[in-house]
Amino acid sequence: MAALAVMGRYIAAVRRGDWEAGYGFFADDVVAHVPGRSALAGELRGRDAAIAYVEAARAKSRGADVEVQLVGTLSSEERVMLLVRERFAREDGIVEIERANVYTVRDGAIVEAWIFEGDQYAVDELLARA
Amino acid sequence: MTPDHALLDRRGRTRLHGVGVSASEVIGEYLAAMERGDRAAAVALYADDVVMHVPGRSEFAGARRGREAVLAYLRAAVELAEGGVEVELVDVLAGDGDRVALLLRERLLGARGELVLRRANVYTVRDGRIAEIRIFEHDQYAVDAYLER
Repeated sequence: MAALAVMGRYIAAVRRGDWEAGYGFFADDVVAHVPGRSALAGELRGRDAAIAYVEAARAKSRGADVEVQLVGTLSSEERVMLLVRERFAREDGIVEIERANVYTVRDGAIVEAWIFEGDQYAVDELLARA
Repeated sequence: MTPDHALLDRRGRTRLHGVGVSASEVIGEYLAAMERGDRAAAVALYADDVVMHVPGRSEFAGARRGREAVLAYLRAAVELAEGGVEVELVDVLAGDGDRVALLLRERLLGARGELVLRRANVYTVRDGRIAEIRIFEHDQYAVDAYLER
């Protein structure tokens, strides 16, 4: 299955809140490259580590006023980039960040994810405060 | 006027085919020009009012508006890499209308040593020209340290 089709199914699962189905698209040996200096940053190896990261990120935004918008989807034969804009409503104002998440898909599974930030400082500050 | 500018203007006037050319074709042309070291041809593909969004907190960060502002940034970044810059094109992603993304792995050799970085540049193409460039960094802190003068 083409990378874009696999990611379409992953996004559909996540959108309906079926995270178990979404995690099912992570390869056993998936590697996630999370940038920055937060506690979540680093090279995360294996499905369990990737899931732990996603769960930690979800936990940090839970209860917060966060609006996530998929701005664009670009792809090649084996990669998909999701351009994402997130708006965090804070007591001291709105923080808006943009990032590009790039997923490599092989044999129907996500084998690698790279996160590229449009404002790393804002992201790390948000993660430190959350 | 430098020879670069002369070529740029000449190309600018003759690029009437620009309208209707796909974003992927324009970026393909841009990459080909960069690869053969034809900076003038690459620069001619920027719209006059191109905007480049440079992330981070370096003196270069922010929205750089206009072809000259973009060029000034690119020149400065290259100048800092006294030992040279190696750019590896990891992948080209497209299919989202007027946007094309380049995944890059760059190796810069500066006065403070070597920096290997990964970034994603997203180009928006309008009327056959690059109208907007958004840079997304994977290692912003290292990039900013490198850009400090």
